[in-house]
Order: sequence, then C-alpha cells, then structure tokens
Amino acid sequence: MTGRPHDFADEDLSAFIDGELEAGRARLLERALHADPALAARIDAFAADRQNLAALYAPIAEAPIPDDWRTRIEAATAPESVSAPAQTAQQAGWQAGLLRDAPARTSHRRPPVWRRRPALGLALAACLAVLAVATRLRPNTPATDPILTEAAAARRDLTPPHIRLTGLALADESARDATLRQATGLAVRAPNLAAQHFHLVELETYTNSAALRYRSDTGQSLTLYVRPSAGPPRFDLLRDGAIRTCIWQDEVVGAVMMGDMTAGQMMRVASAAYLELNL
Amino acid sequence: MSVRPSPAFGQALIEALPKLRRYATGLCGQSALADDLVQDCIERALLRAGQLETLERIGAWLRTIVYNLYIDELRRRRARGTGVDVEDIANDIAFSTPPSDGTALAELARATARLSPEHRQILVLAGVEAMPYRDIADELGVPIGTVMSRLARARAALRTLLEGDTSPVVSRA
Repeated sequence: MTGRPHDFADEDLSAFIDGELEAGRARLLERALHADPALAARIDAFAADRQNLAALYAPIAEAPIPDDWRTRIEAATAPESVSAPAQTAQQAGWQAGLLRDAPARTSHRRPPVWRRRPALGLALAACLAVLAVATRLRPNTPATDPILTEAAAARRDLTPPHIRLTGLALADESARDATLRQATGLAVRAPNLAAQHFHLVELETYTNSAALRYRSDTGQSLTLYVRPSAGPPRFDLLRDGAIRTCIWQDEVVGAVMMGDMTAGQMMRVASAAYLELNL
Repeated sequence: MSVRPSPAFGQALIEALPKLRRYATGLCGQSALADDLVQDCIERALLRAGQLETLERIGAWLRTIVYNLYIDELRRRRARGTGVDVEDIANDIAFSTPPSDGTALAELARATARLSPEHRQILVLAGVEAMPYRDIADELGVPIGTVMSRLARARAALRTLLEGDTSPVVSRA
C-alpha cells in the first residue's frame, strides 16, 4: 500500500484479521486504524471478504455425502473375512458355470481366433471403432448382464480378491502375467497401455477372473476385467453417466473395460488392450 | 501385495469427506467438478493408504491429493483447449447458497474464479478452513512468510476484482 502515513502493508492487514500478526505490531496497527479511515476501510473489506467466503462455502460441509462414496470406502476397508466371501464367490462361479468349465477351457480350448487367423485379429481391432459407431450408445447399463455385474463389482472392490498385486509386485512381468493366467485359465497377459498413457497400478484376481487397474498420468482410472467367455461373441459400448464401458467377447475370452473417458478414447484404449491382451 | 486399508482408515476418510468436499468446491468453484475430484481422491487414497503416516494428518493429505488432481485436470483442459466459464461458476455456487445476499455471494464466486488456483487454495485454507498459518505452511511445504505474502496478494487481488477492475489480476494456471 502506498500514499499512507504509516508503513502497514496488506500483509499486515491480512495477518491481523486472521489473528496471526505479532502482538506488538498488532497494537500499533490498532492505533493506526483510529487515525486512518482508508486503512480502516481496507481492513474492513478484507475481513468482510473472509467472512463472505466462509459463508459461501459453509453449507457444502453440512450436506450429507453421497451414499456411494460411503459404500465404496466401507467395502474397501471392511475387515477381510477369510472363508465366507471366498465361499460366496466360489458358489457364484459354480452358478455361472465358470468353475466347471475352467479346466476344460485351459487344457482343451482352441486358440483365440486372432491367433489362428492373425489378419482377422488385426482387422477386428481396427474395426472396433467402426463397430462402436455402429453400436448404439445405451444410456443405462443393463443390470442383468452377468459379465457387466462382475466387472462393476470388481471395479468397486465389492468382491474380495484372492490376490492383489501393486507396486513392485507388478514390476515382475512374468510373475504378474503368470498370476493373471493362473486366475483366469486363459493364455493372456496384462496389456501394456503406455502408448495410451495408462499404466498398470493393480492386479486383483478372483475365482476364474481378474481385474487390472490402470491410471493415466492425469489421474484417469481404467479397469479391465477379464474372464473366460461365457456366451456368444458380442461387442457393446455402454455409457452410465461419465463412465464408459466396452464389452467384447469371443469364443474364448470375455473382457470388460470401464473408465471415465470419452467414447473415442475408450475405443482407442480398448483396441490397444484387445491386441495386447492375448499371447 | 498392498495392504488393505484398515477400517479405522475408512472411518477417518468418511469423516473427512464433508470438509474435503467444501475445500474442493472452494478450490475449483464448481460443485460437479468438486465431487469428481473428491471421488477420484477417494480412489487414490484407498490405493495409497499405506503412504499416510498417521490418521491425524488425513485432512492435509487428502487436500493435497485433491489439489494435485485439480491441477492435473486444469492441464488436461488446457491441452484440450477447453476451459471453465466464470459465469457458470458464479451461477453454480449461487444456486447452492441461501437466497439472502445471493447476488453478493455470486459476485464473490465470480471474482474468486478469476484468481489463480494457488490464490484460491490459500484463501480457502485460511478463510474457509480457518487453519493457522503454521499448519498451512506445513501443508504447502513453504515458509510461514510465504503463506503471509501469498495470502495478502490473494486478498488484494480479490479486492481489486470486487471493486470493479476487470483487467486480469493474475493469470489462471
């Protein structure tokens, strides 16, 4: 501040209204306020702005937090039960016919179509974007779609994992991919999506399936859920709010990719994952 | 193998969310974006729970995550060539405030939105969260003198805008 018969700067006034100005200097300032109306007006304005800012945002902390935030945190931090959840997951696997088929799929399954016919695989990958355009975006995700239900539960950590790998445990690619193959019974590997700016941060395995979590440099999250195929070939691109979901399934692999991104970005990342996933 | 976050961590996280949501809203000025930031913060916090040394510091830890997420979001928007309309911010906040004095608060929201994220951050920490300067300095990793000068510049910039000077006070990061 200039042009005033004192040497108090905005820094002093600001600290004064916060009760942070050194006591001796605060007394000098109080005396100066009586003699200097402009100084008093300035400090009053600062104080009013401080009070109004608090009033502006105060109601937000009084509002209840969304239920899904609470549910998400409670699910991720609940004490782990060793037997009950695993049994439930196993029962669910049997009901879905996955466990029964798993050994047969592992030992007798045919190679993926894109390995038997690589050109077709590449063409399929290239055509994913075209398929997405041709597929109508659905405003709501169907609640009865088993693979989607499983993928959503994995993304929200509602299903207790058998194994969770993060950090250095993910750095060993061969061990990581072996864990993925053992869990799914599929000849697959964790896709390298670095070219799409996503990096693997977590691998969780469940009964006959696995979820791979990726993060972008800018904080976007992406979940790739992989399990043996459990139905006819399909391709779907869905939308639920900001979350895009891409489902693809052939005669061997079923995969669901979920993330907060545009349809175009989803298709680019899904195409890369599609090519990278299979050995 | 990562350690599953403890129930105590989960409870502390849940209890911190109302204030974190207020901080995020003050920081970015938009309730929808603030909720997105908090939601992403929850995911990151659950993933990195082991990095928190003591639950007593969870508030500062979460605010740091939210701030970093917000800066990332601003960079992403800049790269896309998209920004946030100041009028949208003013309307958004005005809708969430009591009708009394709504115009003045909308003006305040509009002016605050024109400040840099760094200035908004320190205004919220000192004026809304009412944190002591020492704690702000520790959270931001700067000397206490920097807190005092940055806060004074933020308040002066806000005054300039509220008094009708519409020329750029600071560049938006």
